[in-house]
Amino acid sequence: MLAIYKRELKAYFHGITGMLFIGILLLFAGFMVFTNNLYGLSSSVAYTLYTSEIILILIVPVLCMRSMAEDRHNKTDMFLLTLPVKTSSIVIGKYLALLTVYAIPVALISLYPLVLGLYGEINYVTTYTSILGFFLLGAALIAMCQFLSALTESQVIAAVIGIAATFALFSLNTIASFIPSSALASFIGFAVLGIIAGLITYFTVRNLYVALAVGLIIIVPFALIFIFASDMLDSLFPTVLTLASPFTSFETITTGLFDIAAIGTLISHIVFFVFLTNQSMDKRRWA
Amino acid sequence: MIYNNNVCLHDGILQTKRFKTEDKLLIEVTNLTKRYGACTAVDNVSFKIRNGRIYGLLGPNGAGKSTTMNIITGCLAPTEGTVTVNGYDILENPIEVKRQIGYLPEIPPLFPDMTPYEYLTFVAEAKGVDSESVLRQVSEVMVLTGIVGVRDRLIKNLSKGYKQRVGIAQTMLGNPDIIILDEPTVGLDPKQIIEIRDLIRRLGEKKTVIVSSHILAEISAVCDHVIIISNGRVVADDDISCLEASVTPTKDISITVKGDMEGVREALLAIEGVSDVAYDSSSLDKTPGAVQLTVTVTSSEDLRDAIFFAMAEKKYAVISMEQKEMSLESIFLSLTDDTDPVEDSKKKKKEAR
Repeated sequence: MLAIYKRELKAYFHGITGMLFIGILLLFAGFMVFTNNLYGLSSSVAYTLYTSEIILILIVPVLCMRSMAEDRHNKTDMFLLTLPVKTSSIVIGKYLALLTVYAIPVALISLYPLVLGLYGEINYVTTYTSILGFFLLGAALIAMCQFLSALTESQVIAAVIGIAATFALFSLNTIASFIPSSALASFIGFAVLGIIAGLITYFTVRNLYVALAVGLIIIVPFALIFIFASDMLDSLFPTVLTLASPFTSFETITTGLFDIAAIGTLISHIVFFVFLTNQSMDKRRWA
Repeated sequence: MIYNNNVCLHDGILQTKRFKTEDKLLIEVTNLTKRYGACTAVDNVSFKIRNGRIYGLLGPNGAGKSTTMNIITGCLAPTEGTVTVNGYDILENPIEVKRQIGYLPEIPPLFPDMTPYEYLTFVAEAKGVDSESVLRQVSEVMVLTGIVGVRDRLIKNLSKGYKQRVGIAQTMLGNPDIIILDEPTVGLDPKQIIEIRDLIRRLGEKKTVIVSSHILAEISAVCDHVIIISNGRVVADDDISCLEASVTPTKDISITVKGDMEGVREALLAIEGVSDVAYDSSSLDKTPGAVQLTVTVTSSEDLRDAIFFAMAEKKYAVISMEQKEMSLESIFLSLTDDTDPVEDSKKKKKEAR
């Protein structure tokens, strides 16, 4: 795992990708610090981070696009499988390398409050909780984009789908507010979710029965609830949508709450997508 | 290892004698089957690989060689059947199996943005070579494969031959017992091919090597033992010398003689044991004023002396005379001939995907 981690980390700095990612993130965050904290005379770094989150939509997918897709393109993924290491070590090694690249600008950002603190009152607890939240938000998005990169040989496709997916998560709040709060709407929402989950499963494992099972596991319970206790479903879907977005979790943290549920959501995002990446790599062995 | 080419596997006594010191079963493939949907790429394949020899896996394109190798090395899972490497099952103990094998796939698995030195260090570390021996092993394999001169150039800038060497160097790291090379000389120029063959022979002195190829000359040049795969099935599994002996030898003679066609023919047919004389259009010898003939011989004796004196008597100059041997080429063709072309092309398409 360490060897793979080291190789991946080097690869980001051999090329321009790593530096570009760090540079753009710092530039954007610096600009936000300037407008909010320096020019706007605010002491809230949490708000600065909240306004900075939008840049992650663009740069995280570009950072992650090569992670798995490049190896598939170069046919080195099969080679990695012949090394005496577990598939999970390969995937986690690659994930940790991405995380390290992301941790560098976040570490630099955590110096900002110290500098700002010289000239005014800073609530350090809220600030550093928010920075932790910002790190976890990025980590969650990286996990998802790494998974998307594992689905294709083409880095460009990985990046484009990654941007679309992160943007979809970002606008999940807005989408949720458009959905009627009736039980029927909730049921339809969950049904659509089940179908999407089934389709994703099908394209990942290429097994119709598994895909059907995944879809039905999601749809059937909600169908039963809808038939027998439909008022339980009132406005459930929009609420779940809102909570499922890592951006929502991060935004909750920036309000100054050390919300265990929000942090739990972010961490489960990471675990879920790293697991999926591992499965999609492992399943190529069984193809 | 001293290996006597004249000793055949068929001979029970000699076999046990020879294998007394070296007989160690390294790889055992039992009833291996791999299906892609409805298409069967490998069909009930069984063979054994013993210690200290160079094995050739031979078969036409799309016969299932690469699939078999991918399964042995653990990057593909079999549909049915088992493979044990040095006693470890590939499904139960994949990490241990992978430690025993160095594998070079058809396309060398190189990272273009690394230098050979960085790449080999990475592979050594990933194979779990302890940190003190990484440097030593890397320099050792670089010397052995002759890539010291390019160690700090980016792999993407190297020639195909050097890339292949880096790929072979990588297989030796971690000191595995078995080296598997999938079509190691494809796309190389003749000089590079000879160099790579030498390298394989040198490797074979210390390790068990499995080389796959669809080119027969390749296999007969470096291998002791050949396993022929056709249409996903093993059609032959024997020492090269035994395979050659197993084919009924012919005593036919191809001959180039200066003189008129009819006179020569008559003189040849007069010899006892000659049943037919035919014009040989495939002969490469195009000496002006000479005729190229194939003499079909029915007697079991070598008729070359008789032919020489018969020609000398008639003042026909013999330019060349050669006893035709059933070559490995023809063995290969006769063994792999009965393929269904439709099914074959289907399989190829599947493999290309």
